[in-house]
Amino acid sequence: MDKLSVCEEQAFTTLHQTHATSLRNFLFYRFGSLEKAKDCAQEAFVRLWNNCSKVAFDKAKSFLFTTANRIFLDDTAHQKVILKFERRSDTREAQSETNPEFLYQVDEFKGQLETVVSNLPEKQRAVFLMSRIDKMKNQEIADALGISVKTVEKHITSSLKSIKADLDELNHFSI
Amino acid sequence: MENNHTDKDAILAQWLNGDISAEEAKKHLSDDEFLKYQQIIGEVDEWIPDTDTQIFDPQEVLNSKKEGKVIKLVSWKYASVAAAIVLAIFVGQSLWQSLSMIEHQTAFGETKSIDLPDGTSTIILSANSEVSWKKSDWRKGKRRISLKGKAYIEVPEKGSFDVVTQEGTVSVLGTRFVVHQIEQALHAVCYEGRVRATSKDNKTIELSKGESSLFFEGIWNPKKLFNIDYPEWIKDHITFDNAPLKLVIDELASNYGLTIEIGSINLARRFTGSIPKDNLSQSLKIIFPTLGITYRLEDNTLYLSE
Repeated sequence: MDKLSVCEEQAFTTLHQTHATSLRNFLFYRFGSLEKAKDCAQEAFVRLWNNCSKVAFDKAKSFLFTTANRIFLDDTAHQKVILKFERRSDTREAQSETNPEFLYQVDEFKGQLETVVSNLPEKQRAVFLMSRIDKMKNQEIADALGISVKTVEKHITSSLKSIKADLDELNHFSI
Repeated sequence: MENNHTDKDAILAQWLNGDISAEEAKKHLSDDEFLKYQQIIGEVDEWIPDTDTQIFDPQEVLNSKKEGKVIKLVSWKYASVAAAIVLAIFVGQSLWQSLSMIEHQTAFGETKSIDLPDGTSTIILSANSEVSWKKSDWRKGKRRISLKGKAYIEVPEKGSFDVVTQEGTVSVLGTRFVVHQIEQALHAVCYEGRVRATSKDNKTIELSKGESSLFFEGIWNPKKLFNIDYPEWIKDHITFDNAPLKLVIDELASNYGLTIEIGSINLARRFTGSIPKDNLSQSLKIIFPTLGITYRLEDNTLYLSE
């Protein structure tokens, strides 16, 4: 049995299905522009396709993330990131009813959290959001970015801790 | 205190990772901490960058030809062996100067079809290119031409056929091919049959139908596959499929005889589209506005800016 080749259209389509969204999201988390994130993700897939004979199927994911990251870095004059998110569904209402113990001001909470998340160091932020939003396993994130699982874990916990610290500060001063 | 800190991190990590339950985590954290973390996580978990279900169509990528589309090759047919190759050769200066030399040149924007001395082979010279040969190049079964620029060559009869350039030689093992020359690189593209390309330092690559390779910076780059029958430039339009802007600009310059001042624009950007070979203003309108580049044409010089 031959190894699965990236050059097979079917294999390639599978890679696209599996990784296109998480790749685009990673770029967005890290750099902030949804449109550019999309373009760079697509370009990374083009490069994968062009180099399909050189890239083993099980290395395709880390090829995509590494390549896309580099394309983005080459392309962008770095700007301050201000991330805005949609919500999966408007669950806010339901949530505040079932969870009466909100400590942070609910009205402004999403906006505050977006700001605080945007201010995280970009690598930390990307890892944290890949874990929470894309529900990627720590091992998957580690594979994609070529870092250790331990580092992934550290980025996630540090993110959460600094988000909390920043929110505390924000609320303290805003009252 | 130090220890307490590390423990908390571990608890936090395990909780976030789903290794321990929220209840378990709650035991190790203060109420205030736990609820705040829960509120943060609860909100972030609801987030999504956008609601698009597909980021882009994979077919767009699969169809990206010019940059080396990979297709599954159709099963072999023994029938006719015809080799077609495109060679792009990037050379600093012309090599071949000889007395008994036959030369053909094309101007900017011109393509020209020329019959070769064996009576059956033909060459189509692309814009701003030059082909030449000596009589001795065509004796004793030898067939040899030298080229500056780009050409498509058809060789219907088997036998040796060499295209010599400063960067290396391309030999046809089948029958039909193209050669092109720019700077310090050699690009071989085989449309049918087989071709062998040899760099000046004797590195060799053999290409079959639908394969191309670029010799650049001392190596033959890995083969790229494509599935068109003829090079686009033979037709009335030049087609670009996700081509780097640098390449698009080179084609523009060579086809229309322009000097191009690129200013500070990013040449790594990609262009997909088709431009006519005989209508400059239309070509410019097609290429630049879509890329957000403004242009100004003055005395055959094209000025570009973001």
